[in-house]
Amino acid sequence: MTDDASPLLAVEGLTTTFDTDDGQLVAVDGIEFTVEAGETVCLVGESGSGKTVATESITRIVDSPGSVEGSVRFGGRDLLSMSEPERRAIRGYEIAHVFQNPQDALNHCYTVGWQVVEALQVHEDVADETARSRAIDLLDRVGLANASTLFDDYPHELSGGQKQRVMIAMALIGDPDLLIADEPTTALDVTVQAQILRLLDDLRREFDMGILLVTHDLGVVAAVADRVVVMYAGKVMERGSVLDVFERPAHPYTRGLLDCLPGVGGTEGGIPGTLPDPLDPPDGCRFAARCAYAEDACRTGEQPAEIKTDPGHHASCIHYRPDRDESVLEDAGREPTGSDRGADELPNDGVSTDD
Amino acid sequence: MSRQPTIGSKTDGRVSRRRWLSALGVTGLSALAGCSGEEGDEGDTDGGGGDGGDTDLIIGEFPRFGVDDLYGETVARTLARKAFEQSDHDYGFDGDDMVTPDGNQVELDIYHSAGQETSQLMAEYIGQELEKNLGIVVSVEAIDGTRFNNEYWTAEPAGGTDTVNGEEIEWTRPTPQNPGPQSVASNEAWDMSVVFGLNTYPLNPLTNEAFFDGATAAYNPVGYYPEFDATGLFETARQATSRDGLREAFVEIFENLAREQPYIMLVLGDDLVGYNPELNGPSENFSNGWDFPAWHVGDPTVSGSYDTVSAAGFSTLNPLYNTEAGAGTAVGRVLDQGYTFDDDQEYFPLLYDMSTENGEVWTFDLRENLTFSDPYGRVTAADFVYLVQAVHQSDWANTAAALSWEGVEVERTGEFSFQATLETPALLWPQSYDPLLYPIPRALLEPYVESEDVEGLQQDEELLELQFSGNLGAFTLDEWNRGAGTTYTRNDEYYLRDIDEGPDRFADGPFFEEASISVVEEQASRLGALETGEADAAGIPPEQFQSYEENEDVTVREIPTPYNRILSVNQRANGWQTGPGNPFQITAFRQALAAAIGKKDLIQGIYRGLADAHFTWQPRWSTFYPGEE
Amino acid sequence: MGFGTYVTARVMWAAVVSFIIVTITFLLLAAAPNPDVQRAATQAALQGGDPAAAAERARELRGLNEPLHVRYLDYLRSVYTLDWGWADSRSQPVTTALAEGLYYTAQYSVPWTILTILLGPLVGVYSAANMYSWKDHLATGFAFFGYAIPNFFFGIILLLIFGVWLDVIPVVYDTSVPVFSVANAVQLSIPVFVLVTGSIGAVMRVSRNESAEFQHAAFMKTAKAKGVSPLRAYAYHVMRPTLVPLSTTIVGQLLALFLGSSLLVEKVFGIPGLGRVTYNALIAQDTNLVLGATLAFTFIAVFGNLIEDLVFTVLDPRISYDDR
Repeated sequence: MTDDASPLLAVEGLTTTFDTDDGQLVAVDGIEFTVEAGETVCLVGESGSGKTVATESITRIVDSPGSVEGSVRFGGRDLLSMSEPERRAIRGYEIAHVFQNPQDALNHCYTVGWQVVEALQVHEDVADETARSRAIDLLDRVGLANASTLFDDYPHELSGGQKQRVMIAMALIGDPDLLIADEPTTALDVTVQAQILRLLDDLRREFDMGILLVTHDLGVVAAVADRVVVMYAGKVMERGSVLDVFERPAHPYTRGLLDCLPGVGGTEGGIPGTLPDPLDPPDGCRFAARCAYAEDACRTGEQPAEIKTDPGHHASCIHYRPDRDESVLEDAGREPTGSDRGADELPNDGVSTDD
Repeated sequence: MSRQPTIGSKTDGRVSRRRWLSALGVTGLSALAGCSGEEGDEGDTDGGGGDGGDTDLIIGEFPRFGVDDLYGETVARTLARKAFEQSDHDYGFDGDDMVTPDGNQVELDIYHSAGQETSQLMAEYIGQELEKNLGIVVSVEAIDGTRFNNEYWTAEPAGGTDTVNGEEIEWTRPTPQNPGPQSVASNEAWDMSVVFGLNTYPLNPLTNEAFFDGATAAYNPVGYYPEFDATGLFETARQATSRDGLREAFVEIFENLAREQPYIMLVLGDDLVGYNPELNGPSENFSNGWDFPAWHVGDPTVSGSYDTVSAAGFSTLNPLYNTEAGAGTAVGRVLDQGYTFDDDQEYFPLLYDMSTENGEVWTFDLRENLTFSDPYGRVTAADFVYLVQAVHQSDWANTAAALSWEGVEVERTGEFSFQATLETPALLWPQSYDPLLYPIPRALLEPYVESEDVEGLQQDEELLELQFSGNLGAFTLDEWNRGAGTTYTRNDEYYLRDIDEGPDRFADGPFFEEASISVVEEQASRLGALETGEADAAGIPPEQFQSYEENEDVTVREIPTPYNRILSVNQRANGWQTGPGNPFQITAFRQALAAAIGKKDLIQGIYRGLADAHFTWQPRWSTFYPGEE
Repeated sequence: MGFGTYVTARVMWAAVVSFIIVTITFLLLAAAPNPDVQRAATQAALQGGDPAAAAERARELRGLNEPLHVRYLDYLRSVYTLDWGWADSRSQPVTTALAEGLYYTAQYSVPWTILTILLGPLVGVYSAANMYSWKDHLATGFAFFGYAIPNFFFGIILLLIFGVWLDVIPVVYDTSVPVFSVANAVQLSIPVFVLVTGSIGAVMRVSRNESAEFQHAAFMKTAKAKGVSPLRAYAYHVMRPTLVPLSTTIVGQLLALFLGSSLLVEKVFGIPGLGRVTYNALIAQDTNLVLGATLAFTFIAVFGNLIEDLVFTVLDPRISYDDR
């Protein structure tokens, strides 16, 4: 169903606003990125930078938005302009979601099996028995022991890691082309986090699906991402392949983020300052207020247009304009971060059980 | 003859009526010379004029207080002044105000039933009238009827002695309703009350003995001391062997009660019943319904259903144990009793005729065409005699009619006749309803009589479901649904069709295929059923009389009742709390009160014209009502 | 503990509770003066007999001179063999009286209960889904109206409108029509409507407020992301958790309304149901029937609470069988 010529998911000018009592809140402001079939794209940024809203805007499951505009092309179809029932047919079937907190993401009144099967049966007319065996297979596949008895358990009888595996199984039962995982490991115990990420990566290969992974953990990004999209205050600051971005971070914000990685050196303790007020974003570059290299030109007009710094590597910073000298950014004298070392740190102990 | 009344007063012992009247300073002695009648039948409420009063105060043998010449400020004050002359205390008038010996205006309280609009309006009206005509300040108080009865109306029976009309009288059998002499009083003090009304027993006025048979009468909560020889007159009535003698004695009693106003008599209310307008039969008569088998809708042909509503369910339909009026009606559709009273309140034989020479020995003659259902066969005198002797007069069965047959000797005299001998003669025995019997098969009773099984008798299925009714009723009972009511089917064999007496229509009655009585506890629903025609008859509250009279779906009948509305004045020690003494004890003062309350305005204003003026302890349609001579 | 064991334990507990109430009733009765004995004594006094002897005779006749434990066993046997005595105010056995009342009460309370349980949560959840819209305000207004207006008054008004003015329903309740007939449905429509409006308000409000919480729960987003339609999401994912707190409200409410409301509605519409049977027994001081009705309502209440407990655990799997 995907056209080889075009990417699996192409997001262009996606803008999501909320109407609040204090005015219009632009949570995602005209972002652009793509996800190719079978690859993992990581959406990184601080909390509140609009990552979650951006992913939920793709299938429009975001809660009561004021508006979602722009274009989201999935397999050649525009998800935003199609009708709600048409979108509903795609949700959970072609594009599946895994959420941040598995504790509340499952309905406490139904067995986990029921909820997994529901994800299939709302799309396909599958007999209960067939659906059940498929769900058990999948529960087994995501590393849950005793899948056939666990099928009839209620969510409160499961641990957090088990629940997230159930959520993943639920996402995969429709055999989706794209899996959107929104910080799937944040709420979990550190020992479980790596297992889940490894599982996702294994499943990506096995199911040949694209993954859009939201995270603020650059270690994770380094471990699993093919490409990275860096968001700040509703805007995309930089995007490119994981090698490009980690080795040659273009945007000062990205550099700031990478500096925060423990053990990488640089200024530990994060970037000074806070996110701008989303109700009243500043003119010019959103990051200007916290940027060590900001000039007056950074604080006027719109967010600078993306500039290609390398093939497939874009940054939204005026210093890369042709008429500018990008070398000013090297003044800090920081070393580019090294390799994708995070991958080496992934535990190798398999994914059989969580607890 | 002893019918000459003796009028006494506390001050001078026995005096003649003439002397009593002259003592009042009454100038109209000429009227007395003619021995009453000057007001004759005209003494109606619409006689016009109110305050005609001047010093020419005429109180006849049968005064009608509260109307015409005997209503208004002048009459009332004249009578009150006379009362004060007889009082040991120095009451009087100061300008318009009635004042106590201390010079304070007289203040009295009056109690009415809480939550009853008519009662409250009446109390307020009385207050206005007494203020206007007698200068008395009245405070109106609401009270719950049960509470009034327990704390105010009744007292611990104490007994005692007192001088009444110059005679020493002893209260040998005090009751809560007459605990003793005027000095014995209830826990709570009270002056006046309209909380209770009483029955006037028009068919058998002898029953009024309970109220007025001397100061020691069984029921005398207000502490009234008759100033006439009430005991003697009731004795005369009891002993009377002819209708005329009876009537003379009663007229005498009721004339005296009209004069003495033991209770200030105000009005006799009417029952208001709404009927299906096409129904022929209902009459505005105390005996309304006695000829029910002749009632019909439209043409006198058998058709349709006669449906009525009842406010309460029936606790039993067992004729031996029923004491409820509503259940009596439900039983009556199926089972006639011995007799009834026609439009003229005359005895009308149903199952049996009753006759007597002197009121002592009564002969019952049964109709010969009465039958029970199988297997019980014909109704004979033996059934009735057995019922009375083995059940009513037994010491175990404790039937509703047990008291009626106490001391009565019953004896079978033929297959269809028996006779009863009373301890004391009673010309009005049938009117007391005591000899009213339901026909019950002897064979049905026998097993219970043998084992003296009262519970078995009470719970007997055949009695409860009236399955033995044969040809003895207009209908047969189909079903008694305890909560919903009764349903009936026409009894084609009804014996009444073959009798000679009564309306010709009896020959084809009843004129309904079916009948039903539905229990509808909510008044609004009963009225709704009447309006839509689901019910053919239903009682109507007085305040809705107007709207139903204008409603063409309903015909309203005003059916006279024997129940009166009275102003009770407390003549006991704790009455008249405003000052020393108790003027309520003085007849002239009670007359003053009666003269101060206008009956015409009361009837029109509060009863919307749906009541009769009440002058003495009988309704005007009673045979024993005085003033018709 | 499994579900089966749990149910067994609950049922046994219900039996124990009913037994305790039955016993307390007996003790109260034993302590109170028996009206029959008093009546016999009064009567004897009035007729000039010996009140003490009459009272003794009456006690003997009713077995009241037996030792307490003998009477207690006798009483227990009567209660559990349904030998509840004779209802003097209706001239029929107490059990027959109660059965007749229940027969008519069931005819309106079954549809009433079903409608309340079905419509209340539906309207409440619908209201929550459209919170603060005109639909919500309409539903809320309706809920408060039904809750606030006295049932008997509302009943009389509707009876006047539909029974008297429009004449589409009979004013006098007809017991002779078959239970499952159009005529019966017609005559019960207004009483059921009145009762439903009276009871649905609380159910609607509780379900509206409870479901407002659940409709924004994370699992609703999960459902949406799965491609579940809004209707299905509300029906399965909001309604079900809402029913858990609601089941307590419903059972409690219906039990409370069972006596109070139903009596007034029975009076207005002339339905000879259990409420009127009990009320009239109280008025008539029909001791046997009052006792029987008390026991019947005790059993109904105990049974209702049992059902509530069971429904609760079925609806909310998080509730452990051991904890309750």
